[in-house]
Amino acid sequence: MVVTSGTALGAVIGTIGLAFFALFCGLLYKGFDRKIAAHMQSRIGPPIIQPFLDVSKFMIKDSVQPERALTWLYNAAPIISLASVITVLLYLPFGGLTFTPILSGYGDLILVVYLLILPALAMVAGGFASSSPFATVGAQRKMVTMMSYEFPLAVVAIAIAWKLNQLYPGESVFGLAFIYSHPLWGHVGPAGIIGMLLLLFSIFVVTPGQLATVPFDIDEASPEIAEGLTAEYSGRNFALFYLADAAKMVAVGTLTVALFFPYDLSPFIGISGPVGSFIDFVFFLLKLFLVTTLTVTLTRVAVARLKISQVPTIYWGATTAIALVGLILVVVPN
Amino acid sequence: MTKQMNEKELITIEHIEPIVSEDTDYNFYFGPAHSGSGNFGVKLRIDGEKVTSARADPGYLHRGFEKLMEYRVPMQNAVLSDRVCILEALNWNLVHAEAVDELTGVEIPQRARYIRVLMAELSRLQSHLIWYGALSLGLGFDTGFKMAFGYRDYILDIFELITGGRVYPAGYICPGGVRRDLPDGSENKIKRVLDQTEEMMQKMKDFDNIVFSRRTKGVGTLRTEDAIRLGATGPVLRACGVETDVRKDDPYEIYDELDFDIPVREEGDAYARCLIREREMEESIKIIKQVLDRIPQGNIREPAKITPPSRVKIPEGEVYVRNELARGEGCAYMRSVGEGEPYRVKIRGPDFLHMIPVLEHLLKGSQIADIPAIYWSLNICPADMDR
Amino acid sequence: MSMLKTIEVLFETLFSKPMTVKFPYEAIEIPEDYRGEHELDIDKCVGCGLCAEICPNRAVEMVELPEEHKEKYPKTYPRLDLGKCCFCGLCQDICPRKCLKLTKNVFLATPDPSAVIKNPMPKGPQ
Repeated sequence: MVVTSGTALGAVIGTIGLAFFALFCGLLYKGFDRKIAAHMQSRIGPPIIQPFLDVSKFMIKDSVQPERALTWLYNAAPIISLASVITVLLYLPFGGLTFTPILSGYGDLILVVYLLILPALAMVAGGFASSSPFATVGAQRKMVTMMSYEFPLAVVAIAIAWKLNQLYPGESVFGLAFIYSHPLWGHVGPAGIIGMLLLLFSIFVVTPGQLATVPFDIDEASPEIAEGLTAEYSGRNFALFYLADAAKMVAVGTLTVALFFPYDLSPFIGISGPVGSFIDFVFFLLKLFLVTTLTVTLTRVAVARLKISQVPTIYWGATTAIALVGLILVVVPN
Repeated sequence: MTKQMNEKELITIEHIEPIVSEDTDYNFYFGPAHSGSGNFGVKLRIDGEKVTSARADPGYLHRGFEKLMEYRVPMQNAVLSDRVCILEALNWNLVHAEAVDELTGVEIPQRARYIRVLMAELSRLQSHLIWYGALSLGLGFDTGFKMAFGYRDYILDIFELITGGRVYPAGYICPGGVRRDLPDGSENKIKRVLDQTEEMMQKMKDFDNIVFSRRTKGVGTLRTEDAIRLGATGPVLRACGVETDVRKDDPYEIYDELDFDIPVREEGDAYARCLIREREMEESIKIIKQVLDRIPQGNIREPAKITPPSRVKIPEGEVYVRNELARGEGCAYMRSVGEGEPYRVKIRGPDFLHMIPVLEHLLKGSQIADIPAIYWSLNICPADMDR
Repeated sequence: MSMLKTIEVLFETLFSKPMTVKFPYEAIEIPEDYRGEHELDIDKCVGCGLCAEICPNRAVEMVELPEEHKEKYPKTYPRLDLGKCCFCGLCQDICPRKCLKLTKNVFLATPDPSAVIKNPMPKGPQ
């Protein structure tokens, strides 16, 4: 609808608009997550706008620096983290196909999967630069988690792209706009449906690892290592990490929706034009909300935290096996 | 002699933290100001994710109770005795009250004895709920933590109704009986709270899912010989296969008239300790129901009025009482020379041995990620170690 | 599988009434005989000083009233230091005239240190 990738000015305005809207959505979804989790635990919980209040409070406080920290890296890590997440969002079809991604012709699924490493890597660098034993242990654990979840994520991405290549040979199957406009559920047989469900399950196990929520929030396990990675961060730096976390929730959720639920509502109810696009946009936000609630909130409330030695076993063992079986079931029949 | 002892201590401390450190070993203070350890510090040396040595660092919570009690008469000491370990305040009240009662030789009214047992068992229930909440928090299981403390609040409402305070009962179980009578309607309220506690216990069973049990099974295994040698008592010892409980071996109050079982398990790991405590909660509920059925009418304190401090005299003698607390065996030694204040009070809490020898023995060789599971499965309370 | 049971329990609590209330808009009722702030009925007090003797923390001190009230109230009366008080209620139990009582008031936090000491004061307009 709105031409964003055409002119440079349009790109800049689009980026700023997307950044603010995505952060707003991320914080709002964090608020919903806390409220729903609270009701599941039989309490009332904080108001839905609580993350906004938290971020405003952190922003106005001083950042205290540890004496022996590596200053430039310690201060740069939160900025790199937030900037890289916003950059990832520029490639993703946020809002469905209402807005073409700003950088849509310049990068594809493989680039997105790689770029999603950057925020976590920046946090690890910040943790090591903090020169505190808690942060060091947290950073080591986060590196192990990162290395573990990349494998099943890559298998899922390849499975989707391979099937799309089989169905539409010659197209650029890794392009995200292409993936979003060609849902796979209707084009695979019954074995393929089971395969897609297995791939969906793998993504649901990978997402808490990417977002560092229970059961994979070992890097900031407060009863063991007192907030771990972000133990030495406070004030504005911490606010930037918090915002990066909120935006990452939106980015990872968008990726899952794009790969597995790229449906639009307007063709079903027969409305088109601007009203249809608006309905699609709202429908996208609803899908994002459901994905986030299932992967983050329900998991966080239902299980305990895993040990770091169990994480590679779960990801490289069970999850990769499930993803590979899913890949075979999706790709092989016809 | 003193100088030699100090030098020896210095050498021992340096041995734990060498000045020349190796590349991979580092010191890790699971310290007093840590969100996962309560008020107690443990100095660990870590290699990667493995603990090579552990040294307990007690004393953060030392408040000098034994000395404070030497300057106060028994009624005032009853108020102090809740703070020996606030997580099971009424049980410590009972220990102190029994010690003074044996010295003065007074005959406690039957109704008071039943009320004492009722409050002690309610206190055991809420202590086990705190344990479950703290264990869930340590393992990262947020829901268990929030629900345990939520359901504990109903028991605290009962305490508020009967004793006048939610957490600090202010010496409700005092020398001579109890301080106040049960208000009207408390029996029904207690029965309702017991139903709610059974709801929580059902939830505890439902939450025993795959992640929870994977983190506690096989972790922190304590062998029977080690448990006896290091002085473990209570649920920690019962999880290693030894069937012992002061309420059955050496009954006090009216426990010899009540009918309850003692859960025992063989494995000795953290999971076994969890299961034992859950079964103990069931047994406590059984005891409370029996008490509520059989409670007689009568006086609640002998003498009925509080004696002014200047006229109090405890007869000469010395006594040692043992009780079964939620955490193990809690005892008090009291010696009097005929004055109003006791001459010497010694409090022996179960956690002194759980937190220093048993904890150090279990932590050595374990992983960092197992530390909360081991720590909280022992159900330790720094307060009655440091006094 | 136990995981399914956990999720079932969680969905049940999601749709039932929460255990907590939204304080300060709603509050759980405090029962009678709660040990809160003290209240002295100075007309009944005989100045025996038993409350000061029994207090475990020496929070009660017997003082005389200021000059203008000395004529009507010539004895010494208990002054409470709420900072030292542990709210055990022994002073209420030992009072022979039952004039020192503990009320249900629990809102005692104050930024003003001088408000922590409660001087005995005659009631009513002067």
